[in-house]
Amino acid sequence: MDLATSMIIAASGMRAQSGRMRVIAENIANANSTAATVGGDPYRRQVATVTSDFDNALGAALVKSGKPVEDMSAFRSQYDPGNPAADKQGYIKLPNVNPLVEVMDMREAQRSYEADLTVMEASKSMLARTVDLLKR
Amino acid sequence: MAIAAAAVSAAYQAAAKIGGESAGASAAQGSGFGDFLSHALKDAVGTMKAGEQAAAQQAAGQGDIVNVVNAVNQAEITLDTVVAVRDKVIQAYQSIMQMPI
Repeated sequence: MDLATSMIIAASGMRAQSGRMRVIAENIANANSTAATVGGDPYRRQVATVTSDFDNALGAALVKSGKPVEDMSAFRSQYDPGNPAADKQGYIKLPNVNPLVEVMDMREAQRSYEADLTVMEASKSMLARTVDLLKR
Repeated sequence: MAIAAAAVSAAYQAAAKIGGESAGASAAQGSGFGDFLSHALKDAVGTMKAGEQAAAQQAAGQGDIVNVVNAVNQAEITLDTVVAVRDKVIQAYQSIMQMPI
């Protein structure tokens, strides 16, 4: 049934957006994680990937969150000679996470999730109101 | 959710059968509706069980809240449909039984 299928599709979208949110949470939480060893690399920003996945049994294109990939852009560097992870010049490498970008990504994931929720709500109320026809 | 659709179409068929064969075999009518009802209820119970299972998994810390919501939603709609069809058919039966002859 189409309405039930649309609910399953919306659910897959919600699942994908929660996966994306998890990656964003990792990025924000690790925004200041330095390397564990001197001269090592700090936390590297992850980028969530979302792919389309055709479900043959359902006959519909679902959304699947793929494996997060690493953002290979340069690390931030900061002068902090007191830090145990600082190099000879007194600089430490900080993660290539920009909190502003993460917040924008988070908003987008949040809005997409809400859009999926609205699809789900609408489908459910359409189904429920059709069943209501039987009740009177 | 194909279950709910099947249940509805079965209900319509059963209702049409009752209407069409009212002059014919009366024993077949009762068993037809009974069959339909038990079948539909079995389906509904199956969906409810899936919902329950998803909820239990979520409570155990595994599984996804979205899965739980989906399963419980489907169970709710299936049960709603079955109950509505049952009420409708029983109402029709009662109005026939109360018909003054």
